Amino acid sequence: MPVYDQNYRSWKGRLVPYPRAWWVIAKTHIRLRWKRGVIALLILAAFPFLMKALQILAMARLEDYDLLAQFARDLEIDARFFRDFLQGQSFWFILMVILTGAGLIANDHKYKANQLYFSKPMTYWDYMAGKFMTVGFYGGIITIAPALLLFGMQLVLAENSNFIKSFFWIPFAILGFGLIALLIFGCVMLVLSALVSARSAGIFFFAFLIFPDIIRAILSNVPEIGLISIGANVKQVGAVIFGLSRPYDYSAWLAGGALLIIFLLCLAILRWRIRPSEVVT
Amino acid sequence: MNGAGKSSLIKGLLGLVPLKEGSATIMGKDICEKSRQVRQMIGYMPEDDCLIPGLTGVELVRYAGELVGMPRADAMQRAHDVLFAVGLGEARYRNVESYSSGMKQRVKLAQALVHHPKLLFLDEPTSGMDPKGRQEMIELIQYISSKFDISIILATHILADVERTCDYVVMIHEGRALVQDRVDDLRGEYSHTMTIRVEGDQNKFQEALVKKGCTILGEERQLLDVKLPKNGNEQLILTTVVEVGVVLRKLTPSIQTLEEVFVKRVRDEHAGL
Repeated sequence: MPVYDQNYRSWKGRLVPYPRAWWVIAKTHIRLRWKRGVIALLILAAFPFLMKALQILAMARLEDYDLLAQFARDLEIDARFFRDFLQGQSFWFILMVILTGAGLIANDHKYKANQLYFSKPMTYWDYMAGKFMTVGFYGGIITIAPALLLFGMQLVLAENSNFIKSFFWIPFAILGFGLIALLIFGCVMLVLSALVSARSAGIFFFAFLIFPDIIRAILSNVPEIGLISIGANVKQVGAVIFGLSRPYDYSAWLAGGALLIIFLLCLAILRWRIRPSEVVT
Repeated sequence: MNGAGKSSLIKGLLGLVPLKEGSATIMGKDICEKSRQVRQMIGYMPEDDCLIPGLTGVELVRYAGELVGMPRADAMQRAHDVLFAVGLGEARYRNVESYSSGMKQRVKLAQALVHHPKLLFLDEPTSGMDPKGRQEMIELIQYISSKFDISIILATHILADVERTCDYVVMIHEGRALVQDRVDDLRGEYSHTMTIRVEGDQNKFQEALVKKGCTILGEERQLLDVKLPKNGNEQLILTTVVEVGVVLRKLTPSIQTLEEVFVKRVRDEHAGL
């Protein structure tokens, strides 16, 4: 007797009327991308966090750790400390975005998996949110999460309430800066993934970040040229969020506007490129 | 026929491609207004690969189940059951990229069946399968449609598969419905048409047939297409052969398969009949 004669049974369970498809997509892809490369990157990205944690510890317990006193004396735990930590993570962050985001949509196009998704009761926004959450999770795990942990550590080790009184807004700044970076870099990565193959998407993403910075460096006498660089714009906005002086000589509003335009452009391209199916005529 | 619009029709009904005009309802629900509810009631096995690299067979089917709204535990349990049902029990922990064409067809069927839909769309389910696999797939489709409360819409250009699995057929040619009828009725419609080849006096034989109420539909290379009268059968032909004194070389029903019905209808269409 064929196997199927014994095994196929009807299912009498109840379906959730509006399934949270974005969550199903996100958790599946987060798990799928949990591979050796990502783990190695997470370990490497943890070193700056450990150094900063050591710094906080040394600052808090100077008298207990005389050897570390010299190392920590010139440092101060303030807004700049957290902003610098986030900016310092940018290299690992970019690698992580490429590693986890390049194939997210490109592979669906390659294997024509869009039909599988859109024949289910889900929307375009479910699909996009699920894909973005995957990049967001891994990007956030090496930027926002450790920065918040450092803040918490400083809070616990602080001798008095001066720190929390002065810097209660830092967690919001970390979240704001981190989310802006995630949103912009994540969307650009997804756009490239939707336009070209996974391998090319990674290469283009690097090029997209590096070339504007090279042009900016060459034409350094024209400050506004920085507007073409996503990295420079994010740094500019980040400085405002953390209440620090701007790193470049152009308006932070202009930088914010440029990021908004890039974001809207990304949404438009994604909307155009992600279709449930192609009809061959 | 390839390019006739079968897959496009299914994709239109699923909302995968927008309808330019007209409307449609599936199980009483408008496909545009209640698209999510409609898609929850149906299962779709696409023609294309539609795989997610990195997932094993069981993970892919569970994923499909969760996307459609099944609880996680149920989706997992059901994924195992359905993969066994489609004959992929042993291969369910292998990555889907490593599957053969036939196995990919089976896993696509499994992901469409995982939530036990009321209506199942199968787009070229036997494409790329070897004869044995094709046979098993057809048997499985027959089994599911006959034993369970699942209606199946099969899109294929292999009309032999349709004859074996379907009760009703819509033949699409160049984007238009050419024929729509019950499969049995369609074959019955042509059961009174015979192809005959005789040696001897052709004209006398044809005249004798016409006198007995037969209609000569056509003659090509000594082959006569004859439509018998309502109550007539092969015996009428044999009697006429004896009476006229010709030698009978061939006597078969003109159209035996859906494929021949389709070809005839297309020819009639082109001839403006």
